[in-house]
Amino acid sequence: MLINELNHRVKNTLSAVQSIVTQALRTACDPGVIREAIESRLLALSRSHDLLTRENWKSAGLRDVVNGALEPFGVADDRAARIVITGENIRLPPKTTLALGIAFNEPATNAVKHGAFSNQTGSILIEWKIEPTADGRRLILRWKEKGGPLVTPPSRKGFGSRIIERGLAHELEGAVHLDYPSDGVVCTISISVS
Amino acid sequence: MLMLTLLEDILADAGCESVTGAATIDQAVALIDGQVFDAATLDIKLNGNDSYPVADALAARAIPFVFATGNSVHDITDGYRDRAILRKPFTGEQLIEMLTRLLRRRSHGNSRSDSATN
Repeated sequence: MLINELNHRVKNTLSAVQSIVTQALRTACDPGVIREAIESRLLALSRSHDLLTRENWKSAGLRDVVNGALEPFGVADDRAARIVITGENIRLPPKTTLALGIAFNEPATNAVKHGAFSNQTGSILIEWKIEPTADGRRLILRWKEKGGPLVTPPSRKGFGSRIIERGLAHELEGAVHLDYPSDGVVCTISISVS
Repeated sequence: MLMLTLLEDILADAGCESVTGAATIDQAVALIDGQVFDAATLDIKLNGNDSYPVADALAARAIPFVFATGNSVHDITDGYRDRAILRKPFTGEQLIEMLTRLLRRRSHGNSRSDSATN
């Protein structure tokens, strides 16, 4: 790899780390909460890098991205049996892989704290399909929780929902909607895939 | 993605009223065509492509901007070498200081505080 390209990636990664740390410090005061927020996002970033490195930084499979993002949340309490993932392992470019890897960490963290993974009965359904449109193919992905505690919409937007609703939509030229029906959070992501 | 939220926060803290982001050259050029910006921050690479078309659009409208790059300053193409450059990662203070300097330098002293980030 050209040394310039390596330098570019390192600098971009350092900027991402800077953003993660800054955001964690903005949204929390408790050192334990701040540390956990930073660690979980750094690990999400690291997992996406691992996934891309295994594939020579050409592409990664969506199913692998989803599985990787959920892996730290599924291992405890037999949660793996409460996650249903339906969709083909379509190939995603590095940029999309990195963005989704960070993004999925947010609803997963939320599910453990407040949602379907905060009790013993909730479950998460993640499904996606490719739809042809006039502007090319789009990936429509839905994250749907059920069986968790009654959902109340958040009073203010945290970094997690901003990262998903604004950051992801911006980065991937897509549309992201977070809905809070009482029976479970629904996150719908629509992005262009060539 | 993470950069955008970071820049939004830095600029909002500094008192910018409106911050708009673009992820691709087409998006950025369309935004510049469609609304008035006081200043811009422009990554030299947008989605893997050189962002000079965006720099051209900004320069044509005399909108001050600062380049952000993960590479060395030697990568800047002729014609833009004298532009303000921030090397990633940079601090919020560095960004604000540079944008403030650029806005002060502008002759017609516009008081609005919109900003574009790319």
